[in-house]
Amino acid sequence: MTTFKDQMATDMSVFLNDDEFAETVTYNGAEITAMVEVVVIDRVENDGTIAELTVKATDVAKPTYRDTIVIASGLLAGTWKVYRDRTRQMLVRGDDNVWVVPIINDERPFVRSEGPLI
Amino acid sequence: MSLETLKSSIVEAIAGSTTIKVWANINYGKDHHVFDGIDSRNTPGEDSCPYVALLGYGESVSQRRANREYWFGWAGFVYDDSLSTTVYSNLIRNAGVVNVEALRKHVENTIKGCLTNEELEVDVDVDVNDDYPFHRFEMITTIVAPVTIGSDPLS
Repeated sequence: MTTFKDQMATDMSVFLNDDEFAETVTYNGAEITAMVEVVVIDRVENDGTIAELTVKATDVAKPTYRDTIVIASGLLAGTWKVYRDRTRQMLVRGDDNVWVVPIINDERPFVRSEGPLI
Repeated sequence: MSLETLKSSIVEAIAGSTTIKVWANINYGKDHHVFDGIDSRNTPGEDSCPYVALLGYGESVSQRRANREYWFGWAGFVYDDSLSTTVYSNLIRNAGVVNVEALRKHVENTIKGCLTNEELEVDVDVDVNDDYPFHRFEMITTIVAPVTIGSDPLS
């Protein structure tokens, strides 16, 4: 008998299919299929464009802060880094099947408009 | 010397500094950038690093004083997430922390090189944590210039 858990695992190949919602990205040098969604574009502090990457747990065993992701084409093309920000709850999360990984590119430093405070 | 003339000579000296260019290319494989003012809501990022930005400047002049003071507020950034353990194996250094202070010192020396009989005062803050992997210095340089006897500093 097929369990719900089995079915969830099978469904991964439907959702993470580059003919459907997903695309091919390079994660730490390895090509994998992933879904990417932009969640924050912010220029207030140490931020750039922040997105969430959904990957199969079988493709990425353990996403790690500052891992490198390359998206070759499209609106989100560029080099991204795994990101975390506890104040925004931007943390890697997941289950048996997928990781949802915050990523950032076009990082910018925060500069006080009033100048140095020394 | 007018504030604008002094400011221009300093930012041009930093931009044209061969010492800083060589340092930037050795450490980051590209030239440094200098921003004479920046948009704090859209600050230059990794592509512009290493960079130095003039954030503010001003002067204090009085006919009752024998000198005039100029001040310039600077920030500088490197983008660097590499570590080094070159001295002791148990001392883990962020390369950016070391490099941003080297950049700052080059800027200080460049400003010093622009001066003749003026005096330079420097206040520094190097920020090692907040914007990782950006590493930042902030510096206020105060230049004290003598007023020529008989001249009007406000003219």
